[in-house]
Amino acid sequence: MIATKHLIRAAGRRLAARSFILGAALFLSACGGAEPAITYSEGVVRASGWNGPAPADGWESVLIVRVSADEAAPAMLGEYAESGGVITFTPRFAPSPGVELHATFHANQSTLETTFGEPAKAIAATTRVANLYPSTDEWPENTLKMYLTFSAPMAAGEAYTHIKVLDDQGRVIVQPFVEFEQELWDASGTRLTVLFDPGRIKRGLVDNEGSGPPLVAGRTVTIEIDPTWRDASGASLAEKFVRVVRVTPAVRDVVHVKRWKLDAPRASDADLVVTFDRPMDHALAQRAISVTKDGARIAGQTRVTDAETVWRFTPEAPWAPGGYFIAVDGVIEDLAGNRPGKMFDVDTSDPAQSTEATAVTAIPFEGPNR
Amino acid sequence: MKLRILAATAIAGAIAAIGLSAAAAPGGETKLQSAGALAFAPNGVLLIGDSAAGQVVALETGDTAKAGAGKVEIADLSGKIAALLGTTADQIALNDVVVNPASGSVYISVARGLGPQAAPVILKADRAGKLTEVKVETLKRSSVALSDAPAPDAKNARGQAIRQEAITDLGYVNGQVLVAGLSNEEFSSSMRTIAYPFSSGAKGASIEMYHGAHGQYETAAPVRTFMTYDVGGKPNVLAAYTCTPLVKIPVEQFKAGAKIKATTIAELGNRNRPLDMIAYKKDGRDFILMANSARGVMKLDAAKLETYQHIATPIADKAGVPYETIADLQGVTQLDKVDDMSAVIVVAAADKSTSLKTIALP
Repeated sequence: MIATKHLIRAAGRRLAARSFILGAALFLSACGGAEPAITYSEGVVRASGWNGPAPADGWESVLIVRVSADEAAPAMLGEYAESGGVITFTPRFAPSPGVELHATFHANQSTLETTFGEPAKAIAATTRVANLYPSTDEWPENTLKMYLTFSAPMAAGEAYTHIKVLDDQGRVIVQPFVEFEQELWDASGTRLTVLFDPGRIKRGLVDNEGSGPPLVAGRTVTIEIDPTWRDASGASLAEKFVRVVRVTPAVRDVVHVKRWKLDAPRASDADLVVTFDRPMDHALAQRAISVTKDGARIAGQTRVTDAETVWRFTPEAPWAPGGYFIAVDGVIEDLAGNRPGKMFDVDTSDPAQSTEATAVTAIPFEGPNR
Repeated sequence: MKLRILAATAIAGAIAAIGLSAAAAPGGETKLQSAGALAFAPNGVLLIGDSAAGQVVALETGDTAKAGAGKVEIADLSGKIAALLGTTADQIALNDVVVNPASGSVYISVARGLGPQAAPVILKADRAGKLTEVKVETLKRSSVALSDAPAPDAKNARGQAIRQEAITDLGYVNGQVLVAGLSNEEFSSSMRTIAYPFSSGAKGASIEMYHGAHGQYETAAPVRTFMTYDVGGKPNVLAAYTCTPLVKIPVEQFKAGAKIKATTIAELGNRNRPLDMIAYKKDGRDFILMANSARGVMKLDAAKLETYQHIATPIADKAGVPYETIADLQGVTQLDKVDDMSAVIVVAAADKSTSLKTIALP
């Protein structure tokens, strides 16, 4: 229910509502206009009883709507219109829950002030961390990124103060991530990409030599998500999220596609399954592997399972006999950012190391014989 | 089953082509989904990085007359913007602040709301500090889509692409819009140049940025913030990587498909997150001012940047271009130049309140 509070002033002097109404009635009877009033419904403030020409300084000079009673506060942005003595103000944005509208109407010779608003409702905390990738409990020391997924859209702009990495003594590891003002969310606001500070992972950089990597092989770290992180509705998370991870030695080797194990479909409705030789980046394994036949992409469902070591493809249409390809795009990365043919940080003094990833690796396989 | 693999070239036609599409859209259809990084092209054209829609929008603000000489001062900037937008300061984000060199007015990109449905708003502050909305949909505008996904992107249940590119910074030099981006999936290093005005079907050049750490280890190096700057009479991009070094890259090297290993001209110390950079001249000398997360604003001596050699040896903390720290400028989150005498800054206080100030350049 919308609560309203009325406060009426004439020529800057506060009057009781009753005396104003009396004065207004006398005035109106002489002019034949309507009694000044302010209403707010369906997102529009209406000030009725305007009696005169359009003011030289615009309608915003006679009807001022603020989110605060403080006259120093700026007026809300919005559109004004007038018709038949009724001035309407449509705020650019409907006020947020709990935000009051303070409307001041300099009507003819008196000033009318009205407050509209609804008290803020407590919002139930229901959003949770759905997943943390890598989903394996063993992360290499040079793990490049992690993905946090949530059960509902989250607020942007406050991620890094709510993700803590603790060492095996429970001490906070200082600035383990590279922090971007933009934050790396997906379009739905439910998946956040967090990069471990590449300056501390890349060899030869100041931060790597000064601070060391944020993850140290042989130890455990605890990733903690603080439940005060707000979701897109402004509610806190329903609960704290904690994962303990064992840190394993750094992976400094290119992705070897030829070491992957391929299980070609033996029936026309069977899945095509690839087992990797190590856990891969969850998002890229999902996106960078496709299936083609005669140059055309085959539609189907991709799933990455078993702690990101298995890629499984279910085609929309049954497999046909004959040749297919699995195409592995060179953007695919393991947990440490290594790609096919190229390590994350290439030692250019070693001529055996390539500075270019293999653009596309194609793996041929045969469809099932019917 | 033993794997047999082929190089892509051996199976022409088996694999879909990978490319960058940068198609210009007519202004009438261009809608902002988000407003992040901002930059000005000449004649009051505001470039807006819209990461959510994967586009850069060029907005003809028509704001080309000098706005006067007053110092813009806005106390409680977030509170005031929230009040304009019918909400509270904890429900908005100030994404970028730039000065229109054609008029001296200040432009601010804002997200109103917390999540992916937050509304983008562009505000303009005149020299008296009065804030008004720049109504994007009423102005002439054009856009260019940034897309270089190797394959049709995975979609979520609502049909939205999961992969997104965050536009980390924008710039303009000699008819080219420069766009630095960072993927939320692969660790890549895209820097694009797109001719402006955007033309239909135009293709931007995508450049891979690499960082050669101390001459030995080479990695992709996403750009966090950059500016264009003449070095030895030639336009260069001075860029700060995600891993802190300051690098220079001659703009003439920005050609489609180029792989650029930039020259590191300064190491700026550990755990230092560069936020904004400007260049200016004072008493006949060139300086660069850099706002960063770790310490007061840094003032770099920009004389003879062309003479700095690539820093190729491991160093303990900082090296290269000398700098001093302007200690009384703390908490600066936004910085842009008004003229050679002054700059506009946004300062965040410990209680998260913000204020916009005009300062004399040090």
